[in-house]
Amino acid sequence: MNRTERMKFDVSPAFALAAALIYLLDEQGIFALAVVSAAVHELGHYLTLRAFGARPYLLRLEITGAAMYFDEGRLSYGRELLAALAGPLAGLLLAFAAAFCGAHALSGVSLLLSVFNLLPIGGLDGGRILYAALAMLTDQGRALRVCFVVTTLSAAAMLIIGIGLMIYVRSGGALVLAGAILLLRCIKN
Amino acid sequence: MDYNYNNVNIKRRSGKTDYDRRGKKRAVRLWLCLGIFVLAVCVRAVAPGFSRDMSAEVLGVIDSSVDYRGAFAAVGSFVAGEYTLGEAIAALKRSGEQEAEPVAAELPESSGAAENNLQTMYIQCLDAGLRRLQQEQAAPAAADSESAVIYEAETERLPDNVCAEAVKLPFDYTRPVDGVKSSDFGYRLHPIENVEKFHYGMDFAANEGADIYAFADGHVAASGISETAGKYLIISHGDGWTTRYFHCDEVYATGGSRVERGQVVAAVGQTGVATGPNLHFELMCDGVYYDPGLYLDEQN
Repeated sequence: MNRTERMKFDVSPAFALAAALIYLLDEQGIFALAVVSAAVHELGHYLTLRAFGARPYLLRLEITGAAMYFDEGRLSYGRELLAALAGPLAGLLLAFAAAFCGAHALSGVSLLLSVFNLLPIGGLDGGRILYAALAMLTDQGRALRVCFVVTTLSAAAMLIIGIGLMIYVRSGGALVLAGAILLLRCIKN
Repeated sequence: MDYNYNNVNIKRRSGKTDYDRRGKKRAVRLWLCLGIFVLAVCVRAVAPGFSRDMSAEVLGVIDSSVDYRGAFAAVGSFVAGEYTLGEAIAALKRSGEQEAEPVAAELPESSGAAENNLQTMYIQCLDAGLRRLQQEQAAPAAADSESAVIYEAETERLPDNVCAEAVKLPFDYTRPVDGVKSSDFGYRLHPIENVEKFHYGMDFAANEGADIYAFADGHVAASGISETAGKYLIISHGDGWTTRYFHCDEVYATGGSRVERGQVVAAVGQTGVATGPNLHFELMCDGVYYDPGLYLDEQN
């Protein structure tokens, strides 16, 4: 075996800075809720990947999102789809459990995280699910192209809707930021 | 797996390497960004008033305080079945309009303990850094730091907790800042929200960091940070009289300490909801607001 069984972690400098800033500006203790929700989400991915024998070996936290690296060759598209689904599913379970226990804020955060990840944008679990589903139905090349188009359109839509909400409903810049980051990811690739 | 993805020096059929193509893409991106930056500099130079209005509006929109925790809790309550969908949406709307309640509460009632809070220090550091980026070069013009539109209050009723009479103050007092009055007490068009609101104090435009003097002898009743008032200071002068100083850059006086009339107690800033560096000054007695303009015009 050329890799150890232990999981490795990596954090990009931009992510560390952004996390520090968010933590400092967080007056309502939402940072902790987000960390817990994200941990449960990644745990869902991790356990499913291990069960399928994909040997996840690295979790990298970047400003564009958390990425879990594993032996992609060892998974069929169907299993890749299930592994991608497992994260949001775990988050949804947490949301229901937290709601049942009265931790409403945690429930809301976890629900939002899960639903957001199910959006059909590349890099998010939803994008991955879309890709795997298309690759099962057609060929890989076409799946990649369709995913790219859907991703760019969805990220742009998110940015525009976020700006619109910000101006007309004064809802704050969170959606704009998310849309901008995702769109940036598309341009980078 | 990836065959040639990482080896950027292989010459493709076109005769160029991947590195060349990436370099060209990078160059295009760089020139585009530079162009945008130059454009911003030009706009700011040619139309400073317009760019200032625009930035105030954008900051006002971004800065709108949203109760995120309340919003998440509303969603959670819906999941738990305690809210119907309609109730959850109503709660979400409410949290969008309400000011976020800090869970590590720093309410105006807390006296001075906020000064030593680690969070206060972090916020001060962040504030100082951010403000250095936003610094206005010119001295603030009185008309720009606050909207100076006052509506005749003849036909409009005064709010219940306002007294328009010039009651004689039982103490000696002095001007709280060396600045230009930019906004009167009374009804006015709110400079950021663009609706008519009652202005419960008096605004003085001054340079950032200018000294703020204690209106009269007294002791510090409270100091802290709020999202709308920014860094604030409340001094109690006895007999129920208090004065308040909002949007400070720095508050020097600590909670509970005695201050003298004219003592430097804070510095002018634009923390909280403000369009420029100014002191928002309020004069109150037992919860009733008085018009500082009736007292301060006499002094000079």
